[in-house]
Amino acid sequence: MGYIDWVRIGSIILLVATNSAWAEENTEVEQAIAAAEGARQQAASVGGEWRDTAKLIAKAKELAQAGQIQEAIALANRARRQGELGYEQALREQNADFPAYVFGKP
Amino acid sequence: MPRLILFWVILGFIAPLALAATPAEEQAAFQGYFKRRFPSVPENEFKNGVYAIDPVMRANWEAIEEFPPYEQAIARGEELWKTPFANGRTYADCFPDGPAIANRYPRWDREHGTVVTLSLALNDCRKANGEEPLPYNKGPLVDLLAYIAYQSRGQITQVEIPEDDPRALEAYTKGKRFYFARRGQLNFSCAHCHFANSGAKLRTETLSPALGHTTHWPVYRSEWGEVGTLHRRFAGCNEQVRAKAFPLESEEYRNLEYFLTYMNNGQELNGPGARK
Repeated sequence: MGYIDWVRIGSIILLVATNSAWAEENTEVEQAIAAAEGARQQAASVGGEWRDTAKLIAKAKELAQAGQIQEAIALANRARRQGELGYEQALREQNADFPAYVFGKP
Repeated sequence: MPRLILFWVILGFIAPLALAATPAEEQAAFQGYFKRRFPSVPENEFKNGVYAIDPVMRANWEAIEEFPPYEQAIARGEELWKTPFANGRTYADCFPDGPAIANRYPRWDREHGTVVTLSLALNDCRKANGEEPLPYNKGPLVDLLAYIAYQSRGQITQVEIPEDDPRALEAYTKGKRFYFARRGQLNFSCAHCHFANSGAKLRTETLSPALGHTTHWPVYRSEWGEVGTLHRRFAGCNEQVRAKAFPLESEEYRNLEYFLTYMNNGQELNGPGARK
């Protein structure tokens, strides 16, 4: 095998590796966005959605389309956490009532 | 021993029911709290909101009220009230005692099992007469509310929770839960600003007491540059604590209005108002 052949084989290996990393990143961002959307919907189902969660998801999708995969994943993870916290908050507060001090109690 | 356990289990179920306050008791506690918190404010001044407790803001407000920024909305509303629908009927056919009807809302609608606000009733009237419903956030519906509020000045808030319909109490309770629930990224409830912190400064603003919150709607807010509704304010407050707002006239906000207006029973209506 000559020098040119080695370059060809190297290029193919590089291309396959890059493609595989790209596909992996793409799957990861899609999963992160889907998880964020699921958490947002779960929070909304109990009236606990936060103001910016949907905006964060929309921004994450934009970044993913622009190829800024790691930034998109970070934003989607933030949105997912907001959804989880909003859901927990709504469940925790579902029996909220007058504070005791209104009734003159300490 | 098993009898003792049974006693405590039964007590555990019964005690919360026995200790639960009635809406009337909660209303008395609510009003009493603000009267104790602001002992120098006469009861009939709470309807003026923050201007009852902050003399500097009051002076600004009185100057604004010399040329009320909501006047044009009242005039437009009067014209709408008197303009017949395509079928020749008018709002007066739906509300024969109108236009001074603001203190009849919100009310419990037994037939539909829901809280009916004045905005909802106006749109129901339109639909019954073959007209398109109006948007709730701004425009003609708010003008109509301004006219009705102006004609209703001096009426006393008198929301009723019919005791023979448990669904009404459920709506009240849902409104109460909404009011006191922490929400949004800032984890605040309505009460965090308008109960124990009422009268305190939030940056340059003084937080208004919850007693008087329902008397003066719709309101010309300088921030909005136009007249808007109580539900628009609810939505704004929700967003300020970074919670997603609910749609105007949603069940959540109608129940909230039902609870909060009931808390304000006895307060005089003085809408439309002007606020920062």
